[in-house]
Amino acid sequence: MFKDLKDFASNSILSYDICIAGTGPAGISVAKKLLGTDLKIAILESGGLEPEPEYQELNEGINSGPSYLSLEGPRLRCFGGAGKLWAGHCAPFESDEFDKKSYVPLSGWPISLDDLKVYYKQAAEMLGISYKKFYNKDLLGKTFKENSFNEFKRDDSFLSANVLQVSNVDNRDLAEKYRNDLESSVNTDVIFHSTVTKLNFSKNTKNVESISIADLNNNSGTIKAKIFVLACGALENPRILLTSKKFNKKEISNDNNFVGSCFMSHPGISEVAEINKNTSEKCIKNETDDSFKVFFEINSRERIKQKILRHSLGVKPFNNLTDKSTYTSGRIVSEFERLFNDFNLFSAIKKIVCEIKSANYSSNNWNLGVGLEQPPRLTNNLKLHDTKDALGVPKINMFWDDLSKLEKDTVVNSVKIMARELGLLGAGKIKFKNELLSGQSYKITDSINHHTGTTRMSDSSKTGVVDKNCKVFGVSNLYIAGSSVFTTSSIVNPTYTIIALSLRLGEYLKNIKS
Amino acid sequence: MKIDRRKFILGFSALSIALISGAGLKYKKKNKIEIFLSNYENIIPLKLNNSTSEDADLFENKIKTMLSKVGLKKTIMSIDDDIKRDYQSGNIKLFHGWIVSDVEASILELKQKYV
Repeated sequence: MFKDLKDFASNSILSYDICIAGTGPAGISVAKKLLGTDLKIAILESGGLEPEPEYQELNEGINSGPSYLSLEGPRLRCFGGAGKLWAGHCAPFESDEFDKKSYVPLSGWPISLDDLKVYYKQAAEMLGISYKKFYNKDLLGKTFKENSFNEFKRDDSFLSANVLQVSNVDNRDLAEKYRNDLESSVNTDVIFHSTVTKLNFSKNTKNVESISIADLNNNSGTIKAKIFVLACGALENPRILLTSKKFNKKEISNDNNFVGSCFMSHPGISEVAEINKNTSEKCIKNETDDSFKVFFEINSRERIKQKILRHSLGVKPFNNLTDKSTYTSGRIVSEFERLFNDFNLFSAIKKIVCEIKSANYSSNNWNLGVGLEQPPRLTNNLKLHDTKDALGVPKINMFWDDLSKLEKDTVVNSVKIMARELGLLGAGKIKFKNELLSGQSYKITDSINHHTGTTRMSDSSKTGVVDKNCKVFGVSNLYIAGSSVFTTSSIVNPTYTIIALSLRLGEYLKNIKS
Repeated sequence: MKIDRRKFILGFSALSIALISGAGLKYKKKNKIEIFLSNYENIIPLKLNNSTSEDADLFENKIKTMLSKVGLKKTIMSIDDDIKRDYQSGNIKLFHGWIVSDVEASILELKQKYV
């Protein structure tokens, strides 16, 4: 049933078996496993059915590090959460990503890909995509063709092509997709405008007895439950923990300071290098298939050999006149002027021919950008700021550091290995941009908002916050769902793995309750 | 002005012979190293200056020896193999920002000498 905090008497104490905070992909996935059981469930949503500016303001925080992270834009406090912002790109982690790597400190998950496979399959079903398609070799071959890099196919290549399937708009907002199930469930209350302000621990701090909730109209309440699940995202989960006495660094737990630490995202560095292909310019017919996207990467064998992180190599042609929607006569003229200034008459003619054929012009010159996995680093961390939000909760103080040497090495070495592949094929050459050579391109002001790692999963409280079942170390009934539990960040979009991990947690909770 | 047919044929023939000879001379003027280097015109799209290093001299001697011993065709095949081997094993370096194999870098150095 759908409820609102204002519907309850002020300072009400409500009791449930399980309380899930958050209606994003993580919270809904945990809940989906528990729907239909006789468990009484509360699902808390900080905002309403749609985004409201005053609730969005609760996301405001402070950046104190050299790199800037948007704390407000990529998070939605409303039914569905960040699932409403997500572009639907899905890919599973690779098996080696769960392993400990000597060159990545704090790497190594306490679970393996095998532990997640069944949930990846279930997540694929929920999202309307095909699990098998991720491993479809025909599709990988198509990748090279779609990128106009068909000639780069080689046995024993240093490159691999990764498939991202796209979950369509009808499937990817899980809250909307399962809205009727949630609304009609007699055992489940979705309570809107109930922001978690504090976890209330038992005297021995081994259990969470209740959580305090409030809205912006002076309504407040308390939720008691046997089990609590925080599913509020990788910035909000540690914020809630740190706000609660137990996890404030000088208190009883969090001895190793991992709550809020090891923040990771996927910084992208565009225009790292240019590719000069030996092949001739050509027109490529549009083969529009919106169900998947692809990116190149140095394959896992070479990546581990070279001791570099996961990454994406994005190729984009220069001088591409493919955007028909903005293609005005004025633009044609300016495009011509530019080309004639470059004395590239042949290209200009070729482009016009491609336009007439309604095909994409494939230039010889391509831009190469690199997206990065970030390693877990204690220096990338989130703490509480002295200032508070409208509900009296301390704001986030985000310190996002410059790229580490390992990340910089990944940028340079991945491009070099791609250059070697092109050299072996005699297909072209790569030139680093001057900005990169002088270090300027390392300045990161933008990320793809894939926040991960702030309540990391580990096999020990000495190196993490939650165990392999997403249970918080030292607390018997507190679990965390979402990307904050990621031990390492991979390079693929996190939501698919968030859903798989949350389904696994939901299944685990269902079993322990039964 | 009326042109004598005989004179015209003679003049045309002389001009043709001169042109062909000129082209031949031009070709003949290229030494073996230059002919070898002309096979590597498009390593990178870069205007080269004329500075060279000691490495270029060493490489030049190596190529000269190979050209005299095994001829142009086999030299090119051997050097192409070396380039591939470089890329396979990671023997690469930056040349004005371009990522090239060690052997390609030597060729580019040598090309600078012959600019």
